[in-house]
Amino acid sequence: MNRDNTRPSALTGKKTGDTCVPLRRDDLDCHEIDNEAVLFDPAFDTTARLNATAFFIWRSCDGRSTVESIADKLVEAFDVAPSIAAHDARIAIDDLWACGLLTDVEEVVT
Amino acid sequence: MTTVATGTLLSRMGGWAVDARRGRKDVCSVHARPFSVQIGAVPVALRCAVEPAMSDFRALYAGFERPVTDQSIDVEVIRVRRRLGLRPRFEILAGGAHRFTVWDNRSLLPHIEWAINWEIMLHLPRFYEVHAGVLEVDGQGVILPAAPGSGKTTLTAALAARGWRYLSDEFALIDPETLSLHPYPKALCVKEGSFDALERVGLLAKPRREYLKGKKGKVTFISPNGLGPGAIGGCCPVRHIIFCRYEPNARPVLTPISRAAAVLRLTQQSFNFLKFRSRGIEILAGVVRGAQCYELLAGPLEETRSLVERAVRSQ
Repeated sequence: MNRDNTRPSALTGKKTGDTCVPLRRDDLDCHEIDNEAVLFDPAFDTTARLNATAFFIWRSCDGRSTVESIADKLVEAFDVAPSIAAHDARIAIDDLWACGLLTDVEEVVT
Repeated sequence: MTTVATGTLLSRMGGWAVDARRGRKDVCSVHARPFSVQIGAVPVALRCAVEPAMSDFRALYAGFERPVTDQSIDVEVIRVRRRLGLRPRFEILAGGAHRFTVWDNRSLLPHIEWAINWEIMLHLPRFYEVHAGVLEVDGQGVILPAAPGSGKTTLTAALAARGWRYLSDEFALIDPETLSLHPYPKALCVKEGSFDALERVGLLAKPRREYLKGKKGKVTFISPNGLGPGAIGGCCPVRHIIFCRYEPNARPVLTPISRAAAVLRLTQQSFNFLKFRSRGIEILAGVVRGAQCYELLAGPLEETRSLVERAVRSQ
């Protein structure tokens, strides 16, 4: 995932746990190109590119799925080991959050 | 000081005048009739009474002459004479706005070209503009987007010397509706570091006229006419996008990149992305869909040129 610049306010260093429920921003313009995506943020006139994995994870951030369940979907979609999927999902969601592409990452309290 | 008229009015009239816009120490300035050209998609009218800049500009664009239109990019050079013993200075205006003050006659032509480019960036509403060298080979458009100093002009010139048709060394002008490239075959501005390499491929000869372009140092120009008959390309679709980065003595490497990565990098090399915003990404996404996209590590010119030729011709 890369981005032409980052919003300073998004750089919170927030870390994502398995029980978090991330929600993608719905005010971004998403341009899908060959399973990847370029997102345009009209509020800040910035662009970000998501590779196929990051785009899949971003799309899965629907405000209902936990990081754990997103990792499960990743296993199915990309045929990777569960431990790798869990690790990648956490890292990707941290990055998406830092780049300001998520609106919220709530911790589910059980 | 007697005021005769403003520079803008005089520039329409042509002739001599006292210029009222400058300080008290400025005594006299000269205004000239326009020399009007159509450089591909870009009409330009230059008013300059300073030699040899004007005759050099005429020589670079011989055969491009067209009548002035309402759309013409209007660039004017005013020589401001100063008190006895002080060198004259040159004010470059574009679209009526001041762009540069130049103190050395040898800096004039590069700054005139620079002012034209500036106007294209600001006021050519028709196109999506990317900072790139642009060529056409066998009807396929090739764009070489790059930051300044990445060897874009040198590689563009070297490929043109191999029979690729030249569209521009500065702007990829993309029609937002058809997504095709339009030519802006300006004179190629070559920095001193590339003089030897372009001499070896037969594009530069000695003696040649050299100019000064601020921090970029010594430069020279290659007239689009100097590339040979039929060397200027026309509108064409984009089929190859090659992002250049130059490292002296590096072994040239061409690496495929994804189309989405290409779109992001094109936005970073765009002059007017903020005018188009999300629509700009839509345009670029359309452009890359029909293209192969690469990253080029450029090294010695001959090897780099051969690598790019092989890649493009093999498609």
